[in-house]
Amino acid sequence: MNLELVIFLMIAAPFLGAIVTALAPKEEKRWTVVVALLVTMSTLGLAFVTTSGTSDAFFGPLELVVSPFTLTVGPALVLGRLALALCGGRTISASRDNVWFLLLLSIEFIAIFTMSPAILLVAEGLSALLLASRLFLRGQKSQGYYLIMEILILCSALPAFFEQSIPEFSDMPPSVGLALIIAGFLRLGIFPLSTGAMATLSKKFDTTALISVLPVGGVLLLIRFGPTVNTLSSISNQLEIWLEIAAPLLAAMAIAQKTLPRAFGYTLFASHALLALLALDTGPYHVAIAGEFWAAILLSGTGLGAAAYLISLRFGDVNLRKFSGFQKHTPRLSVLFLVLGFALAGAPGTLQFVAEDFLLNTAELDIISTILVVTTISLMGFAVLRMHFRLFYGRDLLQRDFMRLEGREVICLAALTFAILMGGLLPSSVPLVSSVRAQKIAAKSPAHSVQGGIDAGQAKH
Amino acid sequence: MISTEFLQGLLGLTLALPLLSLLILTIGISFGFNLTERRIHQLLGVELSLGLLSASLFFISLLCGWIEPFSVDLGTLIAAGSYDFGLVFHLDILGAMFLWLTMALVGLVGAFSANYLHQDEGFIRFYWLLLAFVIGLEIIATAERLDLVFVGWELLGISSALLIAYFIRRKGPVENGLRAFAAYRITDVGLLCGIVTLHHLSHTTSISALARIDSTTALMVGGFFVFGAMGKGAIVPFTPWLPRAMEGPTPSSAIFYGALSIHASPFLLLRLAPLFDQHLVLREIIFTLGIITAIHASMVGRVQNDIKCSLAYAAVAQVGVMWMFIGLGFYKIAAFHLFGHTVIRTWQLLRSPSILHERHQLLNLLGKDLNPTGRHLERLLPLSVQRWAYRVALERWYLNELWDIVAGFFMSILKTIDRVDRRWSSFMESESAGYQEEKPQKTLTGVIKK
Repeated sequence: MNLELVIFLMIAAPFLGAIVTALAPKEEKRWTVVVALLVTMSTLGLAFVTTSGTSDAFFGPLELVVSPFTLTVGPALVLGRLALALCGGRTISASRDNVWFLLLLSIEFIAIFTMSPAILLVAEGLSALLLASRLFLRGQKSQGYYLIMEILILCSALPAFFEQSIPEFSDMPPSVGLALIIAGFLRLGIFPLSTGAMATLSKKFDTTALISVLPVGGVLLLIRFGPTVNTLSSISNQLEIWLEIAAPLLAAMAIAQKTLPRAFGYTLFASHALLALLALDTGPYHVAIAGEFWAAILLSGTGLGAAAYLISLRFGDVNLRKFSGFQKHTPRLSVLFLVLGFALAGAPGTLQFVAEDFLLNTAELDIISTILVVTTISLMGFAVLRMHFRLFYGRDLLQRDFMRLEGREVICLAALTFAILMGGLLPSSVPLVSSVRAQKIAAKSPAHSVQGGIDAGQAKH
Repeated sequence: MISTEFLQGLLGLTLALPLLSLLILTIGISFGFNLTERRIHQLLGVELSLGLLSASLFFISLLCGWIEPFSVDLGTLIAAGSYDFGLVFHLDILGAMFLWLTMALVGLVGAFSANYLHQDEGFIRFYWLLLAFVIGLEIIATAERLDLVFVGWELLGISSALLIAYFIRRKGPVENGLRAFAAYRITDVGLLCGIVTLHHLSHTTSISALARIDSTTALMVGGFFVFGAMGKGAIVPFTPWLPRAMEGPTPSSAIFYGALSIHASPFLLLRLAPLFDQHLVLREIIFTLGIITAIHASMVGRVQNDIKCSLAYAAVAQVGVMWMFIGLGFYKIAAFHLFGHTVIRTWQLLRSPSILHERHQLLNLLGKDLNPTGRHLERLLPLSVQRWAYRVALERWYLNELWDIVAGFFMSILKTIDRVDRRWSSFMESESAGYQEEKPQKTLTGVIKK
């Protein structure tokens, strides 16, 4: 199999899907979306087969790399979006938002797979621009403003990167590094920069809002550039303190919320704050951990978001200070919600647990940081159980037959749950986590493990 | 002489059986198979009978010295450099005792529940959670590494909270389940921090390596572990969740809060005993917490007016005594106490629903009232002190109020931050000053209003 062709198809499939979806009649739109995502998923599978899942491969013009890192994160991203598209139903899936989704997916794929910092910045700037324009069109201005700030930061940093190749990240000017991390924080919803995303979630809690706050770009910026800031100890210490305070605070905020979207949003952002903390770590395993952790968040976060969205779709806003008693009408959703929620909070047997255990035991955290990280995990678990109890337990006051899940919705959530559980019980099946691979990463010098997929960079040079 | 390979295989099978049963039950529920009460009961019966047989073999063989403690390696979950998450299990006499208790008592409760929960809407849910509980306890009893112990500990916590909230239609049990879970999560921070710190400082989480770490590390890590064990054992100030946990069905109260779950706390301390031997301060802390808990639970338990709460506090008092034994270094006495108390308390709790009936029968047989009890040492105290002690006991040492104040304080801070956050977003959205609560977007028919 020609790998260049596979990579080209991987980028082109969602892009072509976006065009076809835009042109397709309304009733056909959701199928074009699903087909485009399925084709993308197939190309990822082909890439895995072509590279045997372990070796790196390059594709020239955009400096794209297929490595275990990309083969872990890519499928998680596509699977999550596929589930969202299917869960969205006829009304949502037929909307124009899907065109935006597919375009964004195509761009984010370039960002994930590229090893060129300049192309990464351009791609992230473009995706932020697309998101911002869509949000302004929908009247969700606050997150739009944050995204514009991010675009400005990226544009100001871009000239510094055109002249540099990857191994020279250590020469990055401190101000540029800091600016890029702040841009990542803006996208990740790190407190207090979570205001815009929370407002977006509260206003219209649908798939668009969900995806717009699933901060792919922010994670990428942190993973690629975070470790380089670590060479500047004064700045990285300040950033770490920020994250260490923000993570438990975000998790605690989830407990205090009255509405489901905000409670879900804060839980999601708390897990992203943990990921950001991890991405700034310079430990030799951080690439493996960050990638696995990211894939786990993508799967469980999307799954929990989809489950929460299905409830909102049927019932509107749910008051979490009261009991709603949905259990009787949707027992399957109740179970799936609990599993996906606990997966996001890192319960044993899930992919997130493996990643968290790996993170906690290998990241260079002091006692205070350890306590704060563990407190965040603990609070997230409590927030999830609180959401579950308030939604599904209590007296059912009304007959709500429409609460029952449809087949496609069950399949979507079950597929995500299955992926999370399989990843947790058989983590070696995850390309990035296979022990041989992780040991290879460990064997490399810290200088070579600076960016995600940097192992590919070594092969290139 | 029994071969080691056979024992290893048998232990692996014992650990796998509940997992297999849980899988069968999950598949059955997911795909809508006809899972009658009888079939579920048979499934659990076969699994626990086999488990009890093998646990008895392990326990008796180890007790009589026919076999030596042994380990079984079921593979590695994840490995990278010096870090690995190995599925290594080790069976010694302490673990075999707890494994036997698990199989015997869960089997007993399982059989009891078949009638007790007959035609209850949560019948399947109860047995599913009971199996998750068994898996958690098996892991705690046999895990050789503390990472694995944490897995079992988490399973125990989650299944416990869900069983307290078993009666899902009633608000009280559900709120109480949440409160119990909050206590668990707070103390789980200690356990996980202890494991992580131990790994950072000594590069291992193996229980067998605990005896070799230095005293400074032992003090820090041991402090975390003692805190971690406080929640499940309902040690002061984490006692208030226990009477609330009694809202669950009686079989789950018996197995969780009379028997195995609450005793997981002294069991963990016994497992970590080599660590506490490294530093006297740790043992002093354990002893102090134990004696405070024993006094608290004894005082409060005597003024309770329902049998389940009374038994719950009696169980906590005995757990406090076990902590005292551990603090004094009497590990064997603590283990023996754990074994005996677990069995007797389960029996008492299972009989508690019919206690009034039995009392009436007893009175009829005796033909007269029983001698009044409950006058013990307090007679030596002045009347004013007696009254004060009664009031304090009735208020359960005001621990509930203390936790309410602490939770209220943090919640008020969080709500203030939330308010500021919403106002800021309202400003950015160019809406009128001050945020407004979101209005429902959907109608009851599920159609979105755009």
